[in-house]
Amino acid sequence: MTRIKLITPILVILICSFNTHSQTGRLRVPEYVECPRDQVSSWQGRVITYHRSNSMISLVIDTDANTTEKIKIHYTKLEQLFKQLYLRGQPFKATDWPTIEQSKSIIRDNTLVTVWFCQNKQYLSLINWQSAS
Amino acid sequence: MKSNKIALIASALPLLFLPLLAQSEAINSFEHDNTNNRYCGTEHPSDKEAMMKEKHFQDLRIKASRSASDLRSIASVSVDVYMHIVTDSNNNGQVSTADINAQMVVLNSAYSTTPFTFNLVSTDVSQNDSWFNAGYGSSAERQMKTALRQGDASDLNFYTNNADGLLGWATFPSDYASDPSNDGVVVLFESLPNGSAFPYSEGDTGTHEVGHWLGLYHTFQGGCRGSGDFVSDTPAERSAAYGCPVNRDSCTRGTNAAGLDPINNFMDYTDDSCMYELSEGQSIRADELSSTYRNL
Repeated sequence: MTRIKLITPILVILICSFNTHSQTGRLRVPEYVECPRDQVSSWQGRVITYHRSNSMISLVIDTDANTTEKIKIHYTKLEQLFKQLYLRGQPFKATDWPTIEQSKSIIRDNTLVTVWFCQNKQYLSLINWQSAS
Repeated sequence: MKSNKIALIASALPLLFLPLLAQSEAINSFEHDNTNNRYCGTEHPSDKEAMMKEKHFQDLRIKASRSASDLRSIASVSVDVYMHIVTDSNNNGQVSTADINAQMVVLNSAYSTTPFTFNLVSTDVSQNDSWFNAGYGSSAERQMKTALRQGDASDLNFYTNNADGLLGWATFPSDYASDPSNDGVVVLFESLPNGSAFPYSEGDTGTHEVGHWLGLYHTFQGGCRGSGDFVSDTPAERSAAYGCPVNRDSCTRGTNAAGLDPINNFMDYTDDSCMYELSEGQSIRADELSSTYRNL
C-alpha cells in the first residue's frame, strides 16, 4: 500500500509533464483553417466536460488563458461532423474515437484541444484534438 | 382555445425545420468556475493559484524593499544570451550567423523602451534528430536542455528547433527555482528573421517568448474578466488575435471593457508585422519580476 501511495503521484506528475499545453506557447494558424486570419481566434486547453450523441457533440474547455469556454456542434451525419474535427492536425476519422474516448461520450482524462473559430460564421469552428497519451 | 392552438402550432414550427439544419453549432463562454479538475497545476495556474503567485511576488518585493518608483532606467540591465541551434541529421534547422545576429537586433529593438538589453555570449550547434523534433514538455526537450543549458537564472538560454507544430514556448521567472534546468525559451528556427515561417518570420516569436521569460502573460490572459495579464495599461482581450485585425474590440461590457484589443502588443498572437510594442506597465512588470526571481 505504501508503494502505491508513493508511486501514484509520481506517475501522475510524469504523465502530466508529457501531456500539457503551454501557457507560454505561441500558436500559428494551421493551413486547414480557411477563415481569414484577421477573423480567427482560438481556445487551447483541457476538456473538462464532454458529451457526444448521434446528433450533437459538446465540450467545455478549461483554457490555458484561464477562461472556461463551451462549444456545441449539432449534426445529422457523422461525415459532416468530421469536417470540423482534427486529431493532431490531421483530419479525423471514425477509427480515431478510441484515441480520445474511453467509450462513447466518455472523454479520456487530460485530453487537450485547440478550437479554432471564426468571426464570420460561414466558417465553421474546428476542433483539433490532442490525444491524452 | 383558438389562441392556445395557435401558440401550440407556433411553438412546434421550428421543429419542422430541424432536419434542414444539416449542421449548426453554438459556441460561447462563461465565467471561469474554478472547478479544479486539474492534474498539472504548475503549467496552468487557476485564478486562485495565479492570485497566490502574485501575492507571493508582492511579498518578495516588500521584503526586498522595492517599489514601482525603483523602475530601472532604459538599457540598464544586460541579459547574457546563450544561443543553442539544434538541427537534425540532414542539417534541417541550420541558422546562419547573420540570422542569429538579426534575431539579437530584433530583441534589442523590441525591448528598447525597457531596462533590458540582450548580449549574445555564445552560440552552439547540436545535430540531434530527437532534440530537433522535441515538443513542449517532452522528454527530448528535457534531455536537450539538460545537455545544453548554461548560466543561472539571470541568463537567457535561447533554443531553436522544429518546435513540434508551435512557434515557440518559454518558462516564467517563478519557474526557475523549482526546475532550473528547464529554464529558457524555445522557438521555431524558421521564425528567426529571414526565415520561412511567414507571417511569423521577422523574429518576434523570440520577442514574444522572451516576454514570458521576463514574466509577462498573454494580453488575452483571463479573457474579459478578472485580473487579466496583471498589467493595468493593456486593454482586456477576450481571446487571441491573429493576422492584424485593426479596431478589434472583443471586450465591450463590464469593468474591463475600455480600450481596443492590444493587437500591436508583442504578447498577443498577431502577425510579426503587426506587433511592435510593449506597454509601460509590461516594462514595469518585467523589471520587477526579473529582479525578484532572476536576480537581474
